[in-house]
Amino acid sequence: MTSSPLIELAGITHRYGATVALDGCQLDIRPGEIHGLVGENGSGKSTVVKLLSGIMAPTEGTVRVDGKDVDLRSPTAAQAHGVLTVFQETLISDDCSGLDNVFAGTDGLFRRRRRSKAELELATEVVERLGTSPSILTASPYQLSLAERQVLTLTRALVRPWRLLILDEATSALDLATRDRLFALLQAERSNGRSVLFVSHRMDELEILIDRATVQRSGHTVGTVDRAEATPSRLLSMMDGRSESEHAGAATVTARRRDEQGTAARLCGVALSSDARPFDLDVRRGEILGVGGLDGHGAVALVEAFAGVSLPPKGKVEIDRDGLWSRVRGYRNAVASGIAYVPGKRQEEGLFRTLDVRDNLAMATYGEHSRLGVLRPHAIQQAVRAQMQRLGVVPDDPDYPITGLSGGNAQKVLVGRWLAAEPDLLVLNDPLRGVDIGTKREFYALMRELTDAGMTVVMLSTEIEELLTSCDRVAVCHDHGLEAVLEGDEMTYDGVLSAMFGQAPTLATHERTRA
Amino acid sequence: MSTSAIEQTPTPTSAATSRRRRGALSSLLVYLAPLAMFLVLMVATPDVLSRTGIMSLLVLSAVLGIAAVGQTWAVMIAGIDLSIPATIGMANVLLTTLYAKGWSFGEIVVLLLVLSILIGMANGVLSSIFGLHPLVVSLGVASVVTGGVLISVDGNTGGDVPGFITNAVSPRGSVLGVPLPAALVVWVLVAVVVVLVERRTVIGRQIFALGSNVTAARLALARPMLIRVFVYSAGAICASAAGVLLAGFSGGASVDIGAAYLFSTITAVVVGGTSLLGGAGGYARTIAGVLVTTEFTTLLIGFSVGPNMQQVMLGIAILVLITVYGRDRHVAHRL
Ligand SMILES: Nc1ncnc2c1ncn2[C@@H]1O[C@H](COP(=O)(O)OP(=O)(O)OP(=O)(O)O)[C@@H](O)[C@H]1O
Ligand SMILES: [Mg+2]
Repeated sequence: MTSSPLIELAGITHRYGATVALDGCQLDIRPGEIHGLVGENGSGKSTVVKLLSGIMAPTEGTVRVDGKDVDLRSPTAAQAHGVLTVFQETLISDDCSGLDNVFAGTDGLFRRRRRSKAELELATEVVERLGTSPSILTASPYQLSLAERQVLTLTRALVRPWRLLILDEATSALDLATRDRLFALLQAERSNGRSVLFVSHRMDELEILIDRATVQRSGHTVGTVDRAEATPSRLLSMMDGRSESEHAGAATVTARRRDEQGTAARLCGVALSSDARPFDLDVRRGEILGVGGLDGHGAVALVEAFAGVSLPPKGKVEIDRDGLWSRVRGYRNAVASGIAYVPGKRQEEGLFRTLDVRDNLAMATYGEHSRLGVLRPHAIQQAVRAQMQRLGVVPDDPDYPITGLSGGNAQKVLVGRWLAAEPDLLVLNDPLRGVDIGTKREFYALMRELTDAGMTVVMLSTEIEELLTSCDRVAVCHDHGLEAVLEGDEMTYDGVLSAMFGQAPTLATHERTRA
Repeated sequence: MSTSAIEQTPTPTSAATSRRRRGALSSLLVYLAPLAMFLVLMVATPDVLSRTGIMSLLVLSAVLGIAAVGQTWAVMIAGIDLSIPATIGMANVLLTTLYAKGWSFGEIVVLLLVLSILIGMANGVLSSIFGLHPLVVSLGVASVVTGGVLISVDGNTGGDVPGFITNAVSPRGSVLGVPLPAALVVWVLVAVVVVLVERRTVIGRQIFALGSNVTAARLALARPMLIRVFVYSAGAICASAAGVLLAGFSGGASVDIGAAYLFSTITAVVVGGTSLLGGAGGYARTIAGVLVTTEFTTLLIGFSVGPNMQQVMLGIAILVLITVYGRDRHVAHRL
């Protein structure tokens, strides 16, 4: 390649206080390429992204745009060079409309401009191109799903002129349909000579999309590989330093049959929206029941029903307590019945941003670790350390502020909060969003161990691959109804996919589950 | 690519120590501020450097400090309590009038406790169920309280003060033979309890959680309304105690006697560095803020600045500090 890179990072070091987040980081992005940036949780990907977007300046090293040294001292400076970023944590303000969020930052200092018709049309076009309803532009963001919020942040970038679009796990909450439309859009822009820096933990996405990939490990750039070399096992071994053969035979866990052990929880005549068809669903004791579906088709409502977070408009949710069916009447009641719920929107519903890892991890179990309302610091410290170790939270320090953790590590803390409650039924809303592959595998193994010991798991995932490899059965929602419950041989990629689009593989499956 | 580079990289433990050290440094500054301010005061008005001078300063701080408990916690749950002055006035007037009518001090204390809890419940419940901002709710509660007190005493706010209350706030007062004003001893006890509640109890941590993220707090089993009632009740009880102590200072009681405590409690909280956005800070910081605020006011009085001008100066101090601290929460830190 003779033409100079569009943007280049050379010899970058970055420290947060004394944490060395980047050391010897090297990256160059060519015009007209989609460049992957991969690495384990905490390897410095988001830090690279923030340096390129002008959020912070590197401690040492140079940034070059079109071969010239530049100083990206602010997001505005980065935008002036055509760099636009969709950050890992969706920054959407609930105080103004979706459209205002899209055009945030274009206002004057004191007055919010009225949105012009042209702006509405532009935003509508982008949102529709991503296959989402333009109603998200007018709705209050408070009601939007995580995927819709992510579409808003994507739109915010795409309505502006860009040469380099940075997506920091901006696809992690999108459903399949939206993601494919985004990919088509990116590929079209690539042929127009624009570039994309794509950060993701999903190997399948990287395989479809990228031209080259740069691998980070512990803040250090291991190297950049071309598309042909960028096989999952190669990337994984560069990421964790183990040999490729160890990753080649990555064990796929086989689903187990759990029907002999009875039912742990059930939905009876539940409708996920007031005009949807009611259905029954049993969760077998000791199984991992996967829940899938396109965004807005009721999968979130289904897991929220199990957790008592929002009660379904029709029907009842029941959990088995020592042989007696006890109805779930609300969230606290669900928790008292041995249910725990890991919410999906980690910023909005999960994390306490002003507090440290200890408080974030133990808040829900402080009641158990206290006598007459007075905390027992020793017991808490032990419990917190145990969960941190179990989930591999880095850094391994309960006093660290939660905002100093990388996205994936913050997510682990949130999962740990409810694992610590040792529930009978663990309900997870996309618990591994942004978590790296190694940790995911360890987590699946942990789930197996806990379910073998009698716990039951209901897990929503936006990743079909994850549903297939980690779950015993998969329930798929379509149009706020239960489209299919797949098990055994029916659990195939195409089976889940067609159910998501409302074409259950065989009617027989559906009928059997309703019986 | 060298392996050694990898081995050397992220060293979370040392990072954490440095974070703690940096945290320790900025809080150290907060705790040094009262000393620095005292030096200024000493240069400007040398007579504070007497036993009486220091004790009066501490007694004034004790009253403000006790009144500021409620403001600290209200701010920590991302609220604010405008009913503190009214509650101070209520306690002040009820103590003097009822004592003059022959009620025992114990009976008055019980009455004040009950009324304080009612005030706290009104603040906590109304700001929870109607989703009203505590600013509006506590302002409404404040005018009900003041009006109610005036009606119940028929406009006659004068009366008697128990002798030991006068003693408690006298710079020459003593407790069990130890030459310390009782008000100061009470403040120390209150401070110890408040800080322990914040750090070592379930509800204390839930106060932080609620101020940080209401939805997440609810999902982590905190009960928002219960916590608000607790916070505003504890605040009202402390404000009542401050009102009782204030009765010891001068003869005439008044429902407005707490007026200055709206601004000064907020100043103390903000100077201490508790964020108005909630979820951070704490009473230990407010203690430093209280000392600085009292010293600052004493300094202004030393320069014979009138009460109105004092308010102006405190207001300016709040604005400056909010601007300075506000920069902490730059967008970059949210990413
Ligand atoms: N604001 C901060 N303060 C202190 N340390 C930080 C801060 N932000 C990041 N770090 C640390 O820097 C390192 C790199 O973090 P970064 O967010 O870049 O990781 P990442 O590769 O994006 O991980 P993930 O895949 O989990 O998103 C981590 O060790 C993290 O703990
Ligand atoms: Mg990241």
